[in-house]
Amino acid sequence: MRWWWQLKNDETDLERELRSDLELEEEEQREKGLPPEEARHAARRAFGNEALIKEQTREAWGWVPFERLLQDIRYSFRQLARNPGFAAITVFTLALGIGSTTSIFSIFYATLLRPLPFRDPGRLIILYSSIPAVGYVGPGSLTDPDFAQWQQQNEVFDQVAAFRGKTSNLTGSGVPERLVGATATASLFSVLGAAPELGRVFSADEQSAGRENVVLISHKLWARRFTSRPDILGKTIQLDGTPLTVLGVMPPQFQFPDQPDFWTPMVLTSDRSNAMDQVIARLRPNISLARAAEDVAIIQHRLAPEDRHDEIHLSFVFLKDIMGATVRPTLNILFASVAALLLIGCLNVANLFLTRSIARHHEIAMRRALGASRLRIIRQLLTESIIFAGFAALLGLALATVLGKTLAGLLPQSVPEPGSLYHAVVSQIDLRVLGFSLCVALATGVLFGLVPALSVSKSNLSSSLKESGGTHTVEAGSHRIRRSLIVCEFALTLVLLFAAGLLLKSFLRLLQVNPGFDPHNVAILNLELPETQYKEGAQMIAFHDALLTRIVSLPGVRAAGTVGFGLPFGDGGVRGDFTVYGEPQPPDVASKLAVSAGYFSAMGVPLVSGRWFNQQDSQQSQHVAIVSESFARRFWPGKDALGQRINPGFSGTGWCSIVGIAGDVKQSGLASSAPLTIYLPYPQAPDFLKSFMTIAVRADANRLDLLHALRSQVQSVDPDIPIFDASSMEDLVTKSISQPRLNTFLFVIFGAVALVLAAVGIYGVISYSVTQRQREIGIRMALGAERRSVMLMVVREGARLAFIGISAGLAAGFFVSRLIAVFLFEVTPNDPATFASVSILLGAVALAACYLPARRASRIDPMSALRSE
Amino acid sequence: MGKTQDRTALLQGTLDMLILRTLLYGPAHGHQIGKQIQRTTNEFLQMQHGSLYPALHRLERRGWVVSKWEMAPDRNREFKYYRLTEKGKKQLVVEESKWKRMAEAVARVMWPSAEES
Repeated sequence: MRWWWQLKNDETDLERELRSDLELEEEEQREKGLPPEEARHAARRAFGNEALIKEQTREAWGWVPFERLLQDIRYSFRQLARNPGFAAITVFTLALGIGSTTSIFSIFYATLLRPLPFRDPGRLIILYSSIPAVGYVGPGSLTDPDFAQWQQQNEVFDQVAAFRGKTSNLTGSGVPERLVGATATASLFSVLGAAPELGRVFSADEQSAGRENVVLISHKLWARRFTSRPDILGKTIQLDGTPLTVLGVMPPQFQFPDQPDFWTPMVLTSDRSNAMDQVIARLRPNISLARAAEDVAIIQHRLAPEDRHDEIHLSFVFLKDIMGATVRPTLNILFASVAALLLIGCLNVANLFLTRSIARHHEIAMRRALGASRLRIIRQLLTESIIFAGFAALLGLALATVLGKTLAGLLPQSVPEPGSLYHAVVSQIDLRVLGFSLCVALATGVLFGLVPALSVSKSNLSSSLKESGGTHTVEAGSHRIRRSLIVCEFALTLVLLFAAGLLLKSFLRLLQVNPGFDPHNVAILNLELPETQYKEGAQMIAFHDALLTRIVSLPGVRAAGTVGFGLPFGDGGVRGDFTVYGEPQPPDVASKLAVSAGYFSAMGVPLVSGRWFNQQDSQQSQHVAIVSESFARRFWPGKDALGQRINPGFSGTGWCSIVGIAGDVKQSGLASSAPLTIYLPYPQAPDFLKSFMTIAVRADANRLDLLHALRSQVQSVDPDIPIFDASSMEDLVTKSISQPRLNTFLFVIFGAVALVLAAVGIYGVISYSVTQRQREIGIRMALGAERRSVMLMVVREGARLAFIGISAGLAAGFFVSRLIAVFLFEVTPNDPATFASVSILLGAVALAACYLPARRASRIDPMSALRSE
Repeated sequence: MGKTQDRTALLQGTLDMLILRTLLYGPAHGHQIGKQIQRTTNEFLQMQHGSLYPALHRLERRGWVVSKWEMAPDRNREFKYYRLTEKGKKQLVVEESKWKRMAEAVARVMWPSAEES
């Protein structure tokens, strides 16, 4: 707007200059002896036409195009003010479309498309593996010796690094805390091009045994636990009871692999039994992914031809392709539906502009006749469209900011987990997207706003002027366009409504699912016993026995139990093969849970037959197991499973007698089916199931201080054990359906908005058509048509459009619904009931929207209608 | 519109040159420039002072002159004084040679004998 002030300045300056020179001339004339009055006239004569001079001077400034623009803008605002309803609807419709598209795409971009915060991220690759037998595709891993060979022998990587997730308990200063971290080769930092914010990263030397007691900490941990003190370097911190020297602090943006709080050097062993190392590498220029995979396959073959796992296929994927992979389908579908919403908005705006432009036909013809050039009129109409779009953009931007923040909060964030790759769902308003939606909106306005200008310039001016009030000529064609716009709008709306209906139905089904346990009033807390302090199984059993005894004796606690991994709705747990006594190895996999005696009553899992575990099921006693109902049915259909023997397939556990049958529990979410499950008493389970345990406590309702009490019980057994991820079963269940809830919520909103827009659209068209047909309707009524039949005639016109739109939408919905099939639970994508109900809903809304203009039509007074023409 | 443009275009070049030439003597305000041109042409160029201003402003936009509000020594109030810039001086040379060439060309047509002798 600077030029505007400049212009104002120049204007006053010119005024002053002319004034001063004119006065001087006048003075000189007076000095010559002329009387004042005559002197003034003489001066003016000598000076010439002042207005013309100003005009010509202004031309010299080169501001004229801007002044015309100013005029256009003023005129546009006058137009806006004259029809505030139109302006409000247009701006609101556009803002809705622009705002929602921008917010969704901003998340889309920031989460999925934004370049990764690493040096030259395009060439970073991750080892992937697929195991077709079990349908696994995901990050792959290698054994330490395999990785060492790869690092030396490959010819395809610039650099390669191994890493794995790791959790440790931080003790020593203040409350113990469980940290998620990573252990990695020193090459990780050079692969990613990361430098510490303080100190140095570890070197390859520190990967050797005896020198590995060093650690890098995250910026977050540094700030949280060490008040960002720079003298942290060289200090030692206690992780799992081991003192480690702090070498450096990593900057806040470095969060690889999964928002770790610390990084320790990986000491490569010669252990071939465990493939735990995930691999990231920087691909050499001009080497393809396939070529890299071949190269490493050769090395792999050379390494261990005897124990090659044919069933595991190793490959590589680009890091950028898998970041944010979990939210990608949701965002894709959201983006598509938001685009549909924007399209509906544009159709509506097109309709509105078209309606208005027909009404302005006369006005434009008049302005042409008065000498406005065609270009000038087009420029004027463009200015108007831009102003509309500008307002819409402002409002849309506000909407996008609010919506984006809300959505980013609602979308599932990735939780720090050992061994997974980090992605953050973030919202950052993307100006390019805002620009894009703005352009779409603008183009719509321009396209349909220009129709009258062009048609007037084509058609005969005088005939346009003769038409009173602007009707006819352009009428027939544009009305056809308007009708087709409405049909498109209805088709799109139906598709959105259909998707919303399917998701809603599916979500309601999901809510009715019985998880197999009673989630109410169950508190959950996790703890991990560090290997360094708890070496023997007996130590862990002693810890848990002591803790559970203390918890059960707390007032208000009804039952308490512990489960090693495998808490339902938790992080998955251990699954694997097993054998049934007297039968060949079954192809099935079972969930294997190590639980304490009180676990079942704490969780509210029903006992079908037999008994629960008890204190007698100790390390020394005969090995026993409880299986799930479906497990019993699968292997002993119609027979009693009690007393049968199974081998849970852990090294060290032999045959176990089945002593009880528990109800089926949906281990991994409401939408999943209950897996075959084997429960072992935890004293008899392998040690690794005992080191990480979840404690479930069923208490009286309203025990708000329960968590505090539980924490102090843990402290009293071992003050160095932190508890983490404290929650409740109800929260876990709610969280497990947060994704479908969000999808449903969004689609219902989208559907509702589309429905409103469609109603506005059809109302506009029918209402306009009634206005145009006022005379015809008047004649009909004068000739004796009943009010009812006039009403019916109008409604029929709307109903016809709605019907065509809905039919087209049904056809489209039939195909589109397949895209959301993956989000559906127990609902087929072509659910007839949903098809029927959304069609009826949309139809009813259309009829309701047509009712108002129809009623108006039926109340037309024939006399005044005929007179008004 | 078209006709006026042709005429001003013809006049413009000449007027611009005259203004630049006048300012070569030193800074002057619009009124002085007008008076000066009128006086030096012995009132031959009967121009209205007003037509100077569009030209002055145009020259200023092009950077050939700069302006400043200054106190007039004799009048005790401020006038907008125009001053020739370096660029303007160069432009004056260009305009001058252009005018000269044109004058010569016209002269050759009008008085061919003078050329021969």
